[in-house]
Amino acid sequence: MDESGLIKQAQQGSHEAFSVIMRKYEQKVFHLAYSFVQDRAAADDLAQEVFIKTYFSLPKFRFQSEFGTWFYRVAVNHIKDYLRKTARRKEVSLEDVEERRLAVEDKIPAGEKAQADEQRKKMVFQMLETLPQKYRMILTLRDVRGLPYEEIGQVLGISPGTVDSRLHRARKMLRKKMMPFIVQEGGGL
Amino acid sequence: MKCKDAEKRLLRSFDGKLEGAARADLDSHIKACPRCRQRQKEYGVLLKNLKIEDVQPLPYFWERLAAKLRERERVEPWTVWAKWSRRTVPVALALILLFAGAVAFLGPHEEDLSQSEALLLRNTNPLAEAKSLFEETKLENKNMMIIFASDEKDPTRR
Repeated sequence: MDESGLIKQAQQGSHEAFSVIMRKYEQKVFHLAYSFVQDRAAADDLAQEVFIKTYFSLPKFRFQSEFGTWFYRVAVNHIKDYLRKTARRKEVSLEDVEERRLAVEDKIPAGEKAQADEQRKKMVFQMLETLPQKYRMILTLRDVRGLPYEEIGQVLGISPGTVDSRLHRARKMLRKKMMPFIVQEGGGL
Repeated sequence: MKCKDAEKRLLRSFDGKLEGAARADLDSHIKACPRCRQRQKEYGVLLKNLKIEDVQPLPYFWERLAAKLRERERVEPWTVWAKWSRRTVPVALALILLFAGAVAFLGPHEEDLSQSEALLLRNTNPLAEAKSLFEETKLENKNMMIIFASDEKDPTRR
């Protein structure tokens, strides 16, 4: 059965049809959630909530847009709500980041390189969390998830031109926030 | 090229959206401008650190999801009703409109009603006038009232 047939069945309440459609999007949604929370268990919970929300919102889908885009929009909106509710845009303690930076700058034994890389990433993501939501959202969709401009525009309901300008502003903001922690030589962190 | 424009182009170049002459202009600017060269490195490092490895969901993702769905459907039976009501509401509205139309067209019209029926339809006591007639003690007045009442109620009688 094709996707629209399965969607119609799922709209009538068929869990089986719903599961068949959603399996196609399982990884995409989980990775999207993970990009925002960077915690496997939290991302798992969030992805499940997205699927549950989609199931109950399915009767609202009127086949006027592509299902994948509609679904991704539901997912992004749910994640936005989640982030708002959990107030994850907490301010990062500068002392905390400073400690990490120093640790990264020290001579690192080869075996600890992976750990240092991990810490560096953590620092960047912590700073990303402090950005206003619309900039955090676009940076995550583009630079973390690698979505094309057109798809980001459809999901966020903005034009590709706005995607371009917002992304530009978001990257500049992130760089500015990271500036105190960027080691000038070689642009390393 | 100004550094501000170079930064814009630089950021586009990370998305592979810079080609031909624009790319060549940027490259020559970066070669000549240490500030922009530094900025290119900084953005490069930042964007590299935003890439994360894909992680897998926890085991039994679908089994857990199916259980949650069943649970929510039990807890929120109204959602099932909401799903169906979406379809039944327009049908119910159409039926109500049809019934109202039928009553308006096929129902009794005031000119077809007797006086008592018309008064009852207007929620007026049809016996009020008769009561005052019966209560009138003076015969003269009573006769006049009968004459006027019959004159009012039957326009054909003159």
